[in-house]
This record gives sequence, structure tokens and C-alpha cells, in this order.
Amino acid sequence: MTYFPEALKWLIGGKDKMSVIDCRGLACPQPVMTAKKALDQLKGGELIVIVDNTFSSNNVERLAQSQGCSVEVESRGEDFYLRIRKGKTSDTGESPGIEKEVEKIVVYINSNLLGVGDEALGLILMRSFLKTLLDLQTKPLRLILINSGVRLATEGSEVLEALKKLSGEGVEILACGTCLDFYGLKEKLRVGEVSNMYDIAQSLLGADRLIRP
Amino acid sequence: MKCVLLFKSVHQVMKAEKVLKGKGFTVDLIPVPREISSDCGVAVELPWEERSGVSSLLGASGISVLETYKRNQQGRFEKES
Repeated sequence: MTYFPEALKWLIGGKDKMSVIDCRGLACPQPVMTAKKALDQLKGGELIVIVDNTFSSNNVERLAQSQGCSVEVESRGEDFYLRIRKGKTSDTGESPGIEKEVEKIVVYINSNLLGVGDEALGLILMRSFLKTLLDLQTKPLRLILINSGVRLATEGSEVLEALKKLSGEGVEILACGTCLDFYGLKEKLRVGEVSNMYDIAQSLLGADRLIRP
Repeated sequence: MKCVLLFKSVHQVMKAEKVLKGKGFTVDLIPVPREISSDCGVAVELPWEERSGVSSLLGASGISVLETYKRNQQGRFEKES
């Protein structure tokens, strides 16, 4: 069942100059997908997206920024209003400048274990891998945690300190929200940001090099 | 300052971590740095102050420490005899 908020229909109709997309009540990743559709249609100017939780707000904000838009977030009561401004110059939707200069290395971690085999050994190898990353000069742009990989960034993880240091050095850590939810760990995330498949798939496709340890 | 213990196999490392954690030591596993060579790529690290008695405690569980290093504030390793 696909549900489009009323506001999106107005937008497609193109009547309003300032379009409002109401994503309240929509479950992840609907808000970000709805916002993406609206942004793609927007030629320039502004768009307001309303969401009712922090995760959606962060996700929509990141999406807009990745498309080269400027975003202002305002919280009103329980809701978040995101004012997204699309510059007329960025017609492709690709983010300009900074990221292009350095090679985009993305590390894709889809398990809390490294390698296939003994579980205890896999845990040790993953700890070793992440700590070694800290010592290496070449740092990845982003670290994506999927499935049991999200455990690494949650309370009680042996590599929490290493991940915090990596994050402190500018490595972006994205933890799959669906996965955190599945394992009941959404409240226990201690480093990185809750992300969605949209962000994750975009990161994977946009990487110059993808490392899967 | 940290104390870094090397063992001859990863099994011994895992066993040592379990024994020491059980006794309340603040242990961590670290990848063995390039400047130290070892057959096993993982070492046990603990605060320098907690090192006394560790060797005999592990010995009692049938685990022998291969080498002991002192890791100073700058992260450099010095071998302990």
C-alpha cells in the first residue's frame, strides 16, 4: 500500500511556490523517499518537509545536504519543520566540491564478526580490524554498519572506543536503523548516526572504493 | 602506561582474556603492532599498575605469557625482561 501525503499531490500539481510535504505519521524510510521525490521535482526555490521524529528529521536533512541543498531545521512541539533550499546552479543533484577531492573509501560491515568461521575468532578479528584502522593513515570516509554489524556501535561493544575515535577523526559512521530496531538496540546506539537504506545504498553506489572486511 | 602481553596462539589470548576479566582486570585485546613480531596477531593489554601477579595467575590456568612489553604514553613499546 503506497500512501502519498496530500501535500505531495499539490506539489506535483505545481500550484504552490512554497511546497509543504507533510510526512508526519509515516514510517521510515517513507519520509526520506517522499522528500527525495519532491526534491527531484523541485527546479529551484524552497520546500518545507514536516516530520514527527528525530530520526526522520536527520535522514531528510542528510538527504537534502547530499543533493547540495541548504537546510534549516526548526522544531515545533513534537514536529520538525525542515526548510530546504535548492540552489538553481546544482541541477544534477550531486554535491559539489569537497568530497570529490579525496577518494571516497567506504567500509561496509555487515556482521559483528570478521570473516566466516569461528564466532569467538570473528569477534577478535573485527576488534583487531577496527583498532588497526585507527593506526592507518588512510582513513575511510564512511563506515556502514548493517545487520549484526550495528552491534559494534552499541552499548557494551568492545570496539566502542575505537569507533568513537574514528568518528572523532572525521569518519562518518552510519548504523542501519532497521537493523537497530530489529535487534532492539535503537536506544543503545552510542556512536554514529541512525541511517536508512536510502543513505546506505547511495553511499555504496557513490564510493570510489568499497571495502568489505 | 600500558602492559602488553604476547602469547603463542590466539587460543591462549582468548583464554587469558577470559581468566583476567573474570578476576576483574581491565583488559583489552589489541592488534599486535608492526614493530613487535609474533606468530599471533592479537595481544592482551592492561593498565601497567595491574600487571603484577598476572603471569602467575595465568600460569595457574595453564597459560604462559610469551613476552611482556611496556607501552609508554607515546605508544612506543619496550620489551620487559
